Amino acid sequence: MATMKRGSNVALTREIPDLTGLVLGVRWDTGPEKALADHLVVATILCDEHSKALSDEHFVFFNQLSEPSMTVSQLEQAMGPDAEQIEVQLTAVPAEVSRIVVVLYLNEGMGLRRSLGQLRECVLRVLNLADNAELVRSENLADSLDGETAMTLGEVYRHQGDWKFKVIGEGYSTGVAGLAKDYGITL
Amino acid sequence: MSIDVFAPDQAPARTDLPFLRHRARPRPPVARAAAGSAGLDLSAPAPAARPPAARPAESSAGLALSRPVARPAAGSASLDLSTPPPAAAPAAGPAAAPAPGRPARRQPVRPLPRARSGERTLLTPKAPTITLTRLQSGVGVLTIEAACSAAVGDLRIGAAYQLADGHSSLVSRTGGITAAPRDSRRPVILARADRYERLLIDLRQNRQLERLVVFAFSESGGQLNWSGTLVTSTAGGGRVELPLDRPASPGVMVLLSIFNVHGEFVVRAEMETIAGPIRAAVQAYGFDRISWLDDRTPVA
Repeated sequence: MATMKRGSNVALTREIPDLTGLVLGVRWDTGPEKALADHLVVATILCDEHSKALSDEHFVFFNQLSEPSMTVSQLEQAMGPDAEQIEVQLTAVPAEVSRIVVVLYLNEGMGLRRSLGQLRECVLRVLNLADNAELVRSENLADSLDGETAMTLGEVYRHQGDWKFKVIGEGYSTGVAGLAKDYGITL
Repeated sequence: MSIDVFAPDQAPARTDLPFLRHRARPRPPVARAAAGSAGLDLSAPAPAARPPAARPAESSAGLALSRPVARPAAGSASLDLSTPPPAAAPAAGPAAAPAPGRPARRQPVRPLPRARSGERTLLTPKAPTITLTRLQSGVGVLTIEAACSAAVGDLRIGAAYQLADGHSSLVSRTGGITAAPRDSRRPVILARADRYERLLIDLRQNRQLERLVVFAFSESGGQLNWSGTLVTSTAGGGRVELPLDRPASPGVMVLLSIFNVHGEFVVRAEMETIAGPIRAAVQAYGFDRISWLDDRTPVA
């Protein structure tokens, strides 16, 4: 299994021609800060070629477990060591979807101020949906964080007829509001 | 075809029931072929049909048509014959393909009044109900605040709630119960006050909340000159405003109810005065599983 650095990408379907589906798994280690995990949310945004969400219904998270085409779905209960998992039926993803972006944010507002900098570890992995085999994983994306409250972890995107995967690991200090603004989502 | 009910692992995949689909635990790489519904996008003007119930892998024997590994933006040229052919209906060639398209969208039976993010919506007797979207019901915190001046009197607010696990009680600063569930390490609802009294709902836990009824009352049990506004705010800046103008009265007024309907919060103005204590008011709204210490305090 390969570990990928921020900014690196891999041509998934070119290297594995019979790849028909993916599992995107997010795992984290909150260290002693156990309560932090209670406020973490993983979301997946289905974007057009301009990296804008196709609609608010294309924001997949715990309160909207799938999107209109039902090709990208978050599991209520992740299997294995991941905290959250998203299944992607790659071959059935509608043509207007150019990018499938996985983000992490802290759900804020109940008082205590927290940040993603408290995470010890945060890794995005890509598995083959057919057999659960891990294909690649990101490096630890938590090590460069400080006061951020949201982060783009990585994306699966179309490129010249293939699906590629890229590790991003870019933090936001403005939380889910900043993410929503960037991706054109109405909260 | 006969189906051996004693060998479910050999049964054909049901691609028509994606919502029931579960990823299998790891097993020999034969199980899930293609998962059916490849929306073949062979060319821009005429994408192929989404086969409703194709059986992967088995019916595809002599089929020449195969799926492009991924869709190029235009053009049907790049058919990749090395992929195992999906069981698309043979008729679904580019020419025969019906309506272009995205899959049919789920439409509500009738349009629901919605709260616009960043805007204010007024709840009125003629339009007492508003439905929050899944994002409005699931991101950040929902704040319910009683914006009332001192002229109203010693107005306090509280709420009766029911959680998904059946637990039901009150949350109110007046009774000293500032968290729901009481003493929880991870409260679903908090009662707070700075300028005004307010309730905070942790929407990360919105699945825990079944329903909530917000009421107002006089702390001393006296008369209140009802006025002001109950403001419900979403993380995206949506404001649902409920005017509290009513003739002066003692007792309890049930202001607002929130029901969690499959992940969407339905907010409804109630504005019903109950001539009686808090206990009578919340019982009138069906909270009959709360044990009471007195007429305004549940037992711990």
